[in-house]
Amino acid sequence: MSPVFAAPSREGRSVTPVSADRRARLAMYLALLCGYIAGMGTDPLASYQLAAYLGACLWSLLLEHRVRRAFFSPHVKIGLIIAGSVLFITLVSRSAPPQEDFAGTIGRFLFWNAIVFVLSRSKSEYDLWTLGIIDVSLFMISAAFFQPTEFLPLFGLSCALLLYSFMRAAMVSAGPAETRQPSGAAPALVQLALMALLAASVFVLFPRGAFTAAPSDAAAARGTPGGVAVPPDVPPEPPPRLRTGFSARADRLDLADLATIVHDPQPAFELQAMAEGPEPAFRSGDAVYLRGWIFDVYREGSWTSEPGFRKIADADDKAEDEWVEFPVPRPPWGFVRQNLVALIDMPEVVPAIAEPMRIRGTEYRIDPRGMILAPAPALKGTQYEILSAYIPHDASQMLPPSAAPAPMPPHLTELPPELERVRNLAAEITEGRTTMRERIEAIRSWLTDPARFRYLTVGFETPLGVDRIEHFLLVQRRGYCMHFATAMALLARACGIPARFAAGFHASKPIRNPDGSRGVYVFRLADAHAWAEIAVDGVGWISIDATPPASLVREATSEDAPPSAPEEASTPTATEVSEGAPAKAKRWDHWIVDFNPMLQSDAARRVFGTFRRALDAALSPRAWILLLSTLAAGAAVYALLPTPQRSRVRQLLSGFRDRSSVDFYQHYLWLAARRVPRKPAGWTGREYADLARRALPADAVEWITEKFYAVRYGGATLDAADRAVIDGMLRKIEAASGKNE
Amino acid sequence: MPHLRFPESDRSDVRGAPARVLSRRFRLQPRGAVFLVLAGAVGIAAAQRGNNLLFVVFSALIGLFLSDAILTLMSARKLDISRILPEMVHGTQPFSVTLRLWNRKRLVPLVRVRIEDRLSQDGRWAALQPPPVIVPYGRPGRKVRSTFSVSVHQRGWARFGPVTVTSEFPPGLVACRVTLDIQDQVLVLPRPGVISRSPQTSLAGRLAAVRSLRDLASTGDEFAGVREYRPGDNLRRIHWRTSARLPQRLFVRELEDTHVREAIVILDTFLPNPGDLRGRSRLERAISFAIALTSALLEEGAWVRFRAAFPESTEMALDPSRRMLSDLERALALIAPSLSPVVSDLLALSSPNPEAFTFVLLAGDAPPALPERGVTIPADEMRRIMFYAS
Repeated sequence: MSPVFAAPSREGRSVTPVSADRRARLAMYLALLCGYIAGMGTDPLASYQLAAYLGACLWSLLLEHRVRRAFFSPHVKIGLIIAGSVLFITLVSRSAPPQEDFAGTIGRFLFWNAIVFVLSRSKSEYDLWTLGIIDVSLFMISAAFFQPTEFLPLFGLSCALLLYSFMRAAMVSAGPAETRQPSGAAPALVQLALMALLAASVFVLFPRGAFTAAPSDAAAARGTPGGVAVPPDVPPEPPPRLRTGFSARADRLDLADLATIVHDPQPAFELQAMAEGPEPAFRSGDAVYLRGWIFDVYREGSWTSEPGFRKIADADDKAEDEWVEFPVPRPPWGFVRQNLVALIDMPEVVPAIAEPMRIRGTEYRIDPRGMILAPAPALKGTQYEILSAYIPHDASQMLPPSAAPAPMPPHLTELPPELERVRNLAAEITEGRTTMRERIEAIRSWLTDPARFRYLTVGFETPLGVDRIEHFLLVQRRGYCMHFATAMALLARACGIPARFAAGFHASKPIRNPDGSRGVYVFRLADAHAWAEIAVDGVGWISIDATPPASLVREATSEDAPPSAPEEASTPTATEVSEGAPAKAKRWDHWIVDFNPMLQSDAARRVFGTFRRALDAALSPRAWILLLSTLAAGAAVYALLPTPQRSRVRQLLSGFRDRSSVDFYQHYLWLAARRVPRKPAGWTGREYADLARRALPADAVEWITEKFYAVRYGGATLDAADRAVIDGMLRKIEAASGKNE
Repeated sequence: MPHLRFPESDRSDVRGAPARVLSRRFRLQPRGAVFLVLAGAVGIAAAQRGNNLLFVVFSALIGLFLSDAILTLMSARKLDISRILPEMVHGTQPFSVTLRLWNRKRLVPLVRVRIEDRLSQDGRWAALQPPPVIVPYGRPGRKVRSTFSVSVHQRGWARFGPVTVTSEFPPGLVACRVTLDIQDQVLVLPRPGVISRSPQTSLAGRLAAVRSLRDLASTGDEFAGVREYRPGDNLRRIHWRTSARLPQRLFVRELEDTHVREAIVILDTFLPNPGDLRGRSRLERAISFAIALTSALLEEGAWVRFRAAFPESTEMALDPSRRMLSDLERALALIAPSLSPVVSDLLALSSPNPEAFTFVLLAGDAPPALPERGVTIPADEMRRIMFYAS
């Protein structure tokens, strides 16, 4: 029960202390403003709502306090809230808006209620609680849907203002009306600091891994999260993995495999490419996509190959110096000859510029989809000579408007039934687009919109029962190339366009030779990339890179790095590469938005490691020696001090009598039995006690207090010697009093 | 009166030792329970969606709850309290009690602390308990004073304590109740009665007789000194010589009273059945009447010999200066019912003045029941003895 005192107003109405205290209300209104700024997203009504809110706050803070009269009575308040609720339910029930719009509708409803509460009359602590709940709800909407970079500063500011507001309201409500109370800022700051510490501990140590999807038995056997049915022909042993994250066996790619992409500057391939054939052909200096892996079946967060397509054809013609030919369609953009050198030991997949037509060598196997498989994993230094029918990476923009999807098997155009929301999303994105080219461009523009999606090198956890890409498209909206490529492929399939997932390496430009000419392309492990491919009638598979362009900054900077010493190149780190965003935003993404169980365990290990190191340091002999020597030095200084200063040190150490001057005076009165009141006229008791404390040695205070206890409770009596001592003290105090006067 | 001893008040405001903590209870407030449920819902949503920003909100909510609990517990520690009470009060008359809360902590302030005092009498909680006191803010290391008003109806010792201090650090999700053993007692004097001065009552006649004696005395013939004039003084007694020396002031002669004006008030506290509530009520009325009568007699200038069983039959002599009236009130505040008839013993006590008026206040029965109490009064004495039944 918290009593609410009421002060009479000029009109005879009563005003609650919260209504009379503008500081509490101002803090609460600002806290709510922070919540709205964080949670408004791209609400088109933001400016109008903000204007209405600021007007309401000004009314409340200026006029309500002055005239003690608010805009709304409680009955009007309840009526307005009910009206807003009815309107909200009607709007929501008439049309099922997309999630973001739904969140915006809830945010508007909450903000409407906030304005009503701000304008209502005679606010109490109950109203502040309601506003606080509205504020937290706005932040929850912001966290779930909009996730602005400034979320944390706004949230911290809002928490501080909320705490101050509650602190202030608690004090003014508990005291008599219109009594001046302390500010309350200091305890609110202390509470904020403690709360931040505890919240950070909960955030880091909460066992969030226990709530994510548990790996199935087969997945656990492979060491990958996410339960995916394993084809019977897949060997049970875990496949060897590249540092790029791609599986060396080329038969499966689980999007959950990569939690974090680690920038590895190790050179993997060196490519020399030359154009062949009619224009438009490959030009040295173009960006190069070196395709290695192709997947065409997406199921539950994993890419695999359709069993019928994974029949590996042995193209060995037993001729040592002959080419191995691939039966692929010939696109109209000429040819490109490639000399590829493996700079590290590589798996059996041989990457090449699409579409590879033939490769020099023996025992190569081919996949009709365009993959080249070497007879064995290649050792460092292995060379390949490949001829490809060149398809530019921006081929989709060269297509005529009448370009149509190529007829393909149904598994390349169908979505799994559980991705109905992705299908709806695709329909929403391509609404009004009729041709294939327009649809593809609409999807790519939508995915590469920096206001909607962000490129991150850190993976994310998926809730139980939710598809990873659906979560990426509708909730997370942060990911790396695999997520964007998969999303592009699935959205294209949802529009009826055959699409598949391709992975390999990407380089934007070749490195420059010392003479200024363009040289070879060097692909590093960090250049691993993924993109989508769509099938165009009469052309074949053309690549569509839907990853936001900011992620490809590193490729643009790699041209000046000498191939022989890539480790010394001044290339930025992977995190820096992943975004052109400032370091603050990157830290925010790394430590907050994309904080996952792996980072969590890492952070926990660091914290415990720090504690352990501190403990080890504290228990080390050196620390003990330092501590003992400090204590010995302190004891020596103490022993050398004169008695009064020694007593003062004892007082300081024990905290004794530091604030007990009044007690001393009180005890003194008792002990001296009516002989003491020689207090100078006009002096308060505290001043007299302070005077006594200054006039007497510190141990005298202890002595007289002990004597007081002995007389008052222990049945002791004062003998003549004691009385003489007390008389002496009185004289000293009197003398000091005269000096002070 | 060396034969009457009154226990001293045990006053906590002058006691040096800090109050002992009897119990400390930590309680989840209803709003805290709702807050935890909401925080849990946010936590489940965050875990299910894997959304780290929801985890931030959840962590902040849990952090707020934990910080509130920690600060509430900390603010409820190192508290001391003392109570400032009047030494004695009259029954039914409100009086102020000041609680002095000392926040002994060095850093943590007190914010909205609720203090509840308890009042008991005769080993039972009083029906009307003191109102709770709410302290808005207490700085670290400082004392805060709060005062409330309370009234006690029953005479005797009224005991205050223990004190319960409830700390609710904002936003008040949890509460910590600390019960401090701080006991004080205040002596509640009998509530003062009112004497009807209606001329139709026999008591009024007796008082008038006493007053006539006083008036007679005021015309006494022995000069005792001069004093300043007070309204109502007989103008014939103005001492003109002194008044002339000190202009703007009037002085009157004071004459020594050579007449003996004495009254005896006997309080009968016989109550055969102490559990009889009606009898107790009569006794309380008799005690109030006794004080009022004695006060009226002293006001009329009479010497009063007050006789009652304390529990021994005792006589207190009160002079018109009323200095002893407070002692009489203190004695009557603690007087207990007598299980045996004492009126005859009190009447039999020797009196130096056989002409003194005697007022006998009977706690229970009317005068016809006197023989049952073994009271036999000679007919010649009955003219100066008045019996009053409460």
